[in-house]
Amino acid sequence: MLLKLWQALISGLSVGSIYALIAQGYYITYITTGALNFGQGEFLMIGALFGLTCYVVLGLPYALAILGAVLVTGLMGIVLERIAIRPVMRHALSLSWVLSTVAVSIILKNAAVDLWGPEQIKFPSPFGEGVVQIGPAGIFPQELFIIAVALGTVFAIQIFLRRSLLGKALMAVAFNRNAAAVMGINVPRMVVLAFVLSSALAGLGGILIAPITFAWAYMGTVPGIKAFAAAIFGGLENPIGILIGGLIIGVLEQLFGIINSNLKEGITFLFILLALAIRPTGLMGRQEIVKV
Amino acid sequence: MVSIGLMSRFAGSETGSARFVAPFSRVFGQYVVLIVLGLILAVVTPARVVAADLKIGVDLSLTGGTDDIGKAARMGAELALKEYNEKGGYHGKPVEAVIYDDETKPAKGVENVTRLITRDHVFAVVGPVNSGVALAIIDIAQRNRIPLMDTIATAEQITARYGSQPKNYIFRVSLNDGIQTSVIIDYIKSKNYQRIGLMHDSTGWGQSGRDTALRLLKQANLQIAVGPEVFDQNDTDMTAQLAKMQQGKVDFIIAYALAPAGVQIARSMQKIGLHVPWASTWALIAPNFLKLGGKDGVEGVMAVTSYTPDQNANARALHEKVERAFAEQGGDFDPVATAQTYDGVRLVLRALDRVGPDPQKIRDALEDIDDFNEAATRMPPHPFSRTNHESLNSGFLVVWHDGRLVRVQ
Repeated sequence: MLLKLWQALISGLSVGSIYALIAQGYYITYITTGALNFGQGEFLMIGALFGLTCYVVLGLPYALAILGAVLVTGLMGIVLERIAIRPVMRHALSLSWVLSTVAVSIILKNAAVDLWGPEQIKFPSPFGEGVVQIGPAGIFPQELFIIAVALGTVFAIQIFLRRSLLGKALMAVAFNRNAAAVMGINVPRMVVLAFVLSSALAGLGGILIAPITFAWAYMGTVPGIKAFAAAIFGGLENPIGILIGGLIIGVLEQLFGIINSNLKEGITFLFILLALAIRPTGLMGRQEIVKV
Repeated sequence: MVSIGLMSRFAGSETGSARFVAPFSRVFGQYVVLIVLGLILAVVTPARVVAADLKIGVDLSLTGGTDDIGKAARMGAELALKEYNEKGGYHGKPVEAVIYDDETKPAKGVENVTRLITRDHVFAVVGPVNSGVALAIIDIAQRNRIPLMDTIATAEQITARYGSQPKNYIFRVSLNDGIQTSVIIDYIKSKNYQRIGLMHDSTGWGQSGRDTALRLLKQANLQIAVGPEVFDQNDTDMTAQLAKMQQGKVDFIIAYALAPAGVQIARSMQKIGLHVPWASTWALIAPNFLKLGGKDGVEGVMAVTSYTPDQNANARALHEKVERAFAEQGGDFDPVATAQTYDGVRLVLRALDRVGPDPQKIRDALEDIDDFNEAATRMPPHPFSRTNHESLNSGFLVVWHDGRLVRVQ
């Protein structure tokens, strides 16, 4: 039993850290614009498939493929903001961004089927297919790499937002848009930056997870939804809560899988419902971001 | 003379009734009679009685988890039709194929087959790939009296559901799950394995496979030590299910898994250090399994088949033709799906030659064909009969070794 719990914890952490990574993207755009990109999962998919083209087809090193995937999805974030967010956000209470981001995600999925085909494609891990033992549990080196890079990136983003001038400007827009504008911060540019960061995070998640899940046009939908659950569960305005929320969802799925593999996702989401009924703003949702 | 007599009888009855009922209710009464007549006609007459167009309908999964099988099947159908039309077609007229993609979704399959029958007026339908889709569409074929030639899907219910009806419109050129699972169970008995683990995906195919396995294991007096455990066909981590297998000390696992999930099972077994033999149905002889899992990843995994491309002269000839005809499309194809669909379509065309484009007569002719000597699969020259709609009846176990499929002795 202990072995099973340990294995579930290790496996859950690696997939949970991907949820956490994508969910940080929801957080960044939400605090700056009040909008979320419901196509995060499809940006993840583009990151994976573009990375696959760089790494497998063009034979570039994995590090360059990661860079390429992050850059391409980041650039797509600019386009997304321009065509799907800015035109529909003219009214403060508009909810059209829900539809426009979903529309973009469907377009991306169709385009990916056209470009890369509908089937799963193997993405060989640069760290090989061997298994590393951690105590009695086995884990692939790629999964360790996912945990390290995803968590490292989440913390790097926080340092960027709190310490760098650009990051502080972004947080200022999040804190009070009008005051930030008065202080000479270019608000529209900060909004673009938020979508670039958000999209690039998803792209990074895609190329990290592809060796585990295979790369294919439909790979993003489920992680996109689970990451959204992680963001809401953790508290949409709290990056640490989101991180913990992502990891908890990842681990819970595996733990409930031990009890009943048939119901593992059902039980996980039931648990989230219960948690939200008790704490409607999420695990750590009540904390205000004070320091900007 | 007859018509005059009829007219006078009608005239008589009208004048007769006019004496007793008011004009309004008389008109109303006539409408009621017409409506009732219409309803009776709608119930008693079949949906189609006219001969169909020279079109054969094909519904396959060309996208979704099993698209490689669907594409391979399409190759077989296209090749069979091309050869038929090159030889002159049906009385000099070419037969057209109408091919739709069901995206591995039952609802889409229902839509496609309804459209094939009502709008395209096909004389027969070939497909589908997925058993879940098949179980949804056979009802439409049976109700509309259109023969359906299943060349891939393996659930037992597909041909059995209407087996007791006077006319069963569902035929199969594929090894059903019962026969496939029996092959695995025979192997289990020969090796004297005692603790069997069972797992399956949550699709319609996986669930019907589970029921078949449970029934056959019970018949063979074998106990299931762990399971049935379920997984989603796109799950990427099966360690939870397999850790249970490990704790239950199973010595053999039967897994109804398609290629991507099969790879994840192999990987997760490696993760938790579970080294027991395991087998799936022919889903894991798909080239996609090797491509996704790699040579080392799939080593030792067993699967059931009834076909190898070098088993007879017809199969060898087909294999060469397919390789030549589809060289430009590139990639691997599933030789079994191609061969079965090639044979299935040729059987339908043979029936067309015998009786013309009448769906109901084609159904009858399919049961009568007894000179089909050019099969690439192992079907007998008289593949179907009134009571038997399964053309393939035996299979054997193969194992992945060094990136190739080897027959298990």
